[in-house]
Amino acid sequence: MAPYTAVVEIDARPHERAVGSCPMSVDLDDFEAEALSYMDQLYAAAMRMTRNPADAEDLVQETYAKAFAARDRFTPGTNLRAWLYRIQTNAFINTYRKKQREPKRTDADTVEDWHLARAASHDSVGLASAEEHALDGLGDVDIREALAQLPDDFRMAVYLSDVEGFAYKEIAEIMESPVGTVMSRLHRGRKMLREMLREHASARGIGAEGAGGSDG
Amino acid sequence: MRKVREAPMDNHCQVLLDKLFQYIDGELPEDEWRAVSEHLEVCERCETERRIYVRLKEMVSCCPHEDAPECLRQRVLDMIDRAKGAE
Repeated sequence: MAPYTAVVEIDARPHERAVGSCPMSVDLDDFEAEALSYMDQLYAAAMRMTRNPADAEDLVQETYAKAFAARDRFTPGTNLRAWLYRIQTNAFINTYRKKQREPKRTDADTVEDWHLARAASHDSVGLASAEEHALDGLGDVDIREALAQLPDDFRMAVYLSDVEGFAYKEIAEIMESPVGTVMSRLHRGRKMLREMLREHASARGIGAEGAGGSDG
Repeated sequence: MRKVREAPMDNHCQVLLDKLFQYIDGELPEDEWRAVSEHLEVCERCETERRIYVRLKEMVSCCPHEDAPECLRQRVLDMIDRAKGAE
């Protein structure tokens, strides 16, 4: 292994392609430099996927190893960020999800709809307004817990849309699924999230009575 | 606790609600986007739904996350370095 002591600083602000402005003394080409600039984003996504730092680090490293090995298959000028997410998503599905599958966790396709049925889409105005206020009383921990409970496919679709701002078409490519499936995952994932947060708020007495939205 | 519905949801609302996520995500073509916008101006229920989901989207997107740890960055750089050394 070549000795290497260089200090590397890479600008990794989201959604910026600051390739030219990365001061670095390691000999990285443009592809490598741009790919590395997405590391914070890939790691954040990996944390959401695997739910633990050790697996998240391994997943990101695997993603880069695969990306560098397959770089000939990347078309310059196309979306490198989406390409990396696609590699990472595949790696997650093929290795980590199998490895860490818990008996209780269900796949998107087998989720019972009771959750969704309860998240009635059209409450009365009063209840919905109370719910709106209840949301304001919830914190990051509530969101993180609720997200973590979503089935993997739903969570990834919601994450790629809401956090990463990918378009439906891009998410479809990343998840290698039809756009209609992505829309359905987003739809169901958000409704489940809403229902879970509503239960959180209700359990803690946040918001007006009735915000629990039980169908009782 | 019993849910009280103030009035039955009409068909028009349902059609628009089906497009609500596409509307929020900026995925609707302009004519459909305009039709939904016009409805939201006059339908408080649908508008409340919109606000709830926009708020949810914001909460998810603002949820803080940790940056990649330095040791991971180093591991990946070492990997590149090794690959270049092997070339």
